[in-house]
Amino acid sequence: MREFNKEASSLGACCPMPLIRLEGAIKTMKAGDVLKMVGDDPIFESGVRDYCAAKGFKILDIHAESKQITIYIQV
Amino acid sequence: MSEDRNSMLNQEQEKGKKGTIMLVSGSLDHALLAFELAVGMQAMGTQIDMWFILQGVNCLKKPRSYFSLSRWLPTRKLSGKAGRNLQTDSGWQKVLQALNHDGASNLPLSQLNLLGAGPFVLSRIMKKKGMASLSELIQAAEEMGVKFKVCQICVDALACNMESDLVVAAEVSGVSRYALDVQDCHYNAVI
Repeated sequence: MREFNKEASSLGACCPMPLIRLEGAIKTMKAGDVLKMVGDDPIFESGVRDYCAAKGFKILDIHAESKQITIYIQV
Repeated sequence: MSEDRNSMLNQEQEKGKKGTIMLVSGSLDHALLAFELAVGMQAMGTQIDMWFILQGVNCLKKPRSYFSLSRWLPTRKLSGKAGRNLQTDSGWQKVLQALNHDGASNLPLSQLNLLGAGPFVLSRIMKKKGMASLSELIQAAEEMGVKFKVCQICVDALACNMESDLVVAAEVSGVSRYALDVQDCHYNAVI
């Protein structure tokens, strides 16, 4: 388990909602903080990867348990 | 010359990417598509301007219940100042108001509407799947900073009161402004 500054979840939500939650969580964080994001959307992982590539954030760690995917992002 | 060009390029990079989405259709599926695109692209870092003309304005209006008098009798005054030419108003606008579907929850589907059965079934499926409804998407778009602009001609012709009829703050603009917006944006969609 990694340490994180903030946690956000998009469990049970569909396509644009993970991006909205991610954007809302990252707005309140400062550079260098780590965000833990949990989701179970089928395209959740690729969506977060695209988002981080567009904004220049770093993905620290990804692990999946059954359908639930946890991603750690450094802002 | 090269310095000027470099400074122009820097200014463009500072401004970031821009996009416009124009919603013409008043169908539920088209409006959902437009707002999902707008919200997703705004989250990815593109500043989105949304334009609403003709039936597209319906999804921004405050809903009127089928059981309220104001749904069937145009009791509201044809007032409002922004973008209106009040001298040329007529009673036919009230007829159109009474016939119109207002509000994000009252929109019909473009196919398989079946007198309202289609939207009912679709809303059940969307709730089961955890998809965001149209009114939630409109709220999310406003919170994320999407700009809403409404065409002046359709504000005037459909007697829309910009101050009290819409659920979001919107600006009245014309085709000249749209041309400027489209010329310096990276993405444009007309739905």
